[in-house]
This record gives sequence, C-alpha cells and structure tokens, in this order.
Amino acid sequence: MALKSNLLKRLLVFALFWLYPAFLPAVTPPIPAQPSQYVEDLAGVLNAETRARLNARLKDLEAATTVQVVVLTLNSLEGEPIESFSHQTAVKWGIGQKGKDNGVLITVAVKDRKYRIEVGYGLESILPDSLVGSLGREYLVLNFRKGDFAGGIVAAVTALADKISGGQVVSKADEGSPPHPATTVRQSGSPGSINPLTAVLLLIFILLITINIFRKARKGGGGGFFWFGGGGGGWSSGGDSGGFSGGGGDFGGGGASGDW
Amino acid sequence: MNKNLLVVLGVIIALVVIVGGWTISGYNRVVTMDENVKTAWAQVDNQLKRRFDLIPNLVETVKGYAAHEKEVFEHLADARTKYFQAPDVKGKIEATGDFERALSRLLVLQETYPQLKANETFLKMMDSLEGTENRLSVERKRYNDAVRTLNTHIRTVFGHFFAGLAGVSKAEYYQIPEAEKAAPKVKF
Repeated sequence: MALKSNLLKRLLVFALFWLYPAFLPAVTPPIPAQPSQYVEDLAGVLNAETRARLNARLKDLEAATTVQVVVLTLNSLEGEPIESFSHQTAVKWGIGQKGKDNGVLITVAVKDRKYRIEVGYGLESILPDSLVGSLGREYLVLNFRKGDFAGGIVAAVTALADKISGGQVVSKADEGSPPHPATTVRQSGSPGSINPLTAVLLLIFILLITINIFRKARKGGGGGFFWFGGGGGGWSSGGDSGGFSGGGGDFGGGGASGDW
Repeated sequence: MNKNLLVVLGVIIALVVIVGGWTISGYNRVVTMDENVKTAWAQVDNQLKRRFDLIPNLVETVKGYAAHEKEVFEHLADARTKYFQAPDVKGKIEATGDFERALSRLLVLQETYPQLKANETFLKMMDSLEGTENRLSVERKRYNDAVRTLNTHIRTVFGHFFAGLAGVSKAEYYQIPEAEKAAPKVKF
C-alpha cells in the first residue's frame, strides 16, 4: 500500500515536470518541436508521396555526405522576421554534424509568402549567399507563385543536393568568416531546450517503475521488460521511413531569404 | 596531544586545498568569460570587415545606374576609413554606426532606380550583403551574450574579487544606436 502511494506521488511529480514548459510564456511563433523526419510539413502543402520522396532523398544525402538538409513549411511567422526564426530553429534542431556544421534548413512560411534557406558554417564555401539566393529565385519563387509548393521544394532540394554532393563538403567556411570557435561563446544548452532533462527524468521514472515491477513479479521473472523492446526504434513514432536526428551543427546566419 | 595536532593539521590542509581550489576555479572562470568576450568580438569584427569588403562591388554595380549619387559613395568610403582607424571596440562601434547610415542611403537607391531589382548581378550582390548583415546580427547577439555573462559575473560578490585579481574589466555591449535600428534592412 505504501509502495503504491509512493509511486503515485512520484508519477505526479514527474508529470508536473513534463507539463511545466506549457506554463512558460509563449514565444511567437514557438520553435516547432524537433522533427523525426527531414521534411516537416506543418503547413500541409506537400502530399504524402512527395514527403516520402524528399525524405528518402535527404536520408540518402546524409548517408552519402553527412550533410543534413531539413525542410520546414509552416503557415505564418506571426510577425517574427524569418531570419531570426530560421536561425533559431536550425540551431535548436541541431541540423548538421557537430564540428562540421554542415546543415541546411529550408523554411517556407506559406501564408506570409516568405522563404529562407539557412546555411550552416561548414557549407558556406560551397553554398555562398549569392548562389543560394539565385537558387531560391529560380526554383522557389517561380513555382511558389504558381502555387506549386511540391515542385518548387523538390527542385530546390535537388539543386542543393547536387551542389552538396558535387563539391567538397567537409571543410569549414572560407568566405571570409573565421573558423567558428567551438562552444566557448555559446551558453551550454539554450533555456528552452529540455530534452536532456526530459531524458534523465524519463530514465529515472522508468527505473523506478522497473524496480516496483520487479518487487511484485519476483516469482514470475522478467515480465516487466517487454515494453522496453518496443522502443527499439527510438522515441519517434515514424510512419514513413525517416530518422532525422540533429547532429548538433551550428549556423552563423549565412543563407538567403526571399518572398514571392 | 599528537592526535589533536594531526587533526588540526588535517583540517588546515583540507581548508587550504578547498580555498585553493575555489580560488583557482574562480579565477579561471573569470578569465574564460573574458576570453569568450574577446573571441566573440573577433567574430563580430570579422563580419564587419567582410561587409566592408563587399561594399566596393555593390557600389560598382549601383554606380552603373546611379552615377551622380557620388555623395553616398563618399560617405561610405569615409566611414570605412574611420572604422579601420578606430583605436578600440567602442570607436569601432561608433564608426560602424556612421557606416550603417551611409549604407542605408545606398540601399534606398533601389527605390529611386527600380531597374536595379531586375539586375541579377545586383540581386546576387544584395544576397551577399544581406547574408553578411544577418551574420553580423548573429555574431552581435553572441557577443552581447558573452558580454552579459562576463559583466553580470563581475558584478557578483566573488566575481568582482576574481576579476580584480585577474585584471579583467567589464566589456562594452554592442548597442545599435536608435537611428540605425531600421538600417540596412533590404526590402524589394
């Protein structure tokens, strides 16, 4: 009996921990949650087939070059400049590999008619701002004006992928910006990120439950472990094949924006 | 008697180790923060230089359309000189303000000469410039974050002590003067 109420208390405490972020003042628009795929179509402008195709393409790209390209569509930025939104999202999601900083984030704000292609530190030499700007004008603007979001995004991703796999990817930026100083300048962990904390709490939580289950199932044997096996694929519930997880890449603000 | 002596000795040694360790870590902390500020400033400086380097090309592109707007170009050149002659961070920040005023006037020329917007060379130039401006604001923000960390720490009781010990002083925030808040945002 004492055991049950103890567990209940613990459950409550951990539940509150997880709900706490909901009470924090909202940032408009809030940075979307970490996606499990390369394509996060919050605006719903891409059909399932396109998403699957893009995901596969980008997964292959990462496998071949370690470069991570992520596509995000959303309805509105709610007044926030796309540059700061894009930069914060890219950094928070950790697109690109840590150290190499070879990530790209394509953000399309459909109702605002704005887009931005954010380029990580490590890709600035093969994807300079002017090239990215031209790319946007050529592939995104023309297609978006026709309402063809799928066409535009696929064309842009294809062009980017070609550029990325055609050139050398690994070296750091050379277009005048200095080697990015590792992590000395940045605060360790942005105030909003709770993932490590959540992970630790989850672990403790699971541990406690396991211990309690074991106490009860002493005779029955390891009956409590089956649900750990189910989580083998990672925390993400993915319908399509996917599996994007941020490598911790950093962004210096390079890239280009545009509207249509 | 001996035992007591040992205990006292043990306590003293423990205290020395603790205080010593505390002093070292406090000192190191302040020094690290100061170094972070310097590194962050180097990043800002680099982006500012990059912006200066881009400008001549931009000017050349625009000159083709707006040859008689000489004044704007002269102001840019003057501000650039002022920046490179500035003796310290504060001076550089001031010179940057002048430069940004001149730059915004250059950008306004787009309105006067709309043919510019159809020129792909010009558009690419603007991409590079906007990219640099964006990088600048990222580095500025990181610089200010580093400055905030340092300055806040220096104001704390122990931080103040260690800063004095290490010869570390407060750093200057990178404030954008009110007049420039809008410049040089580019809108087509």
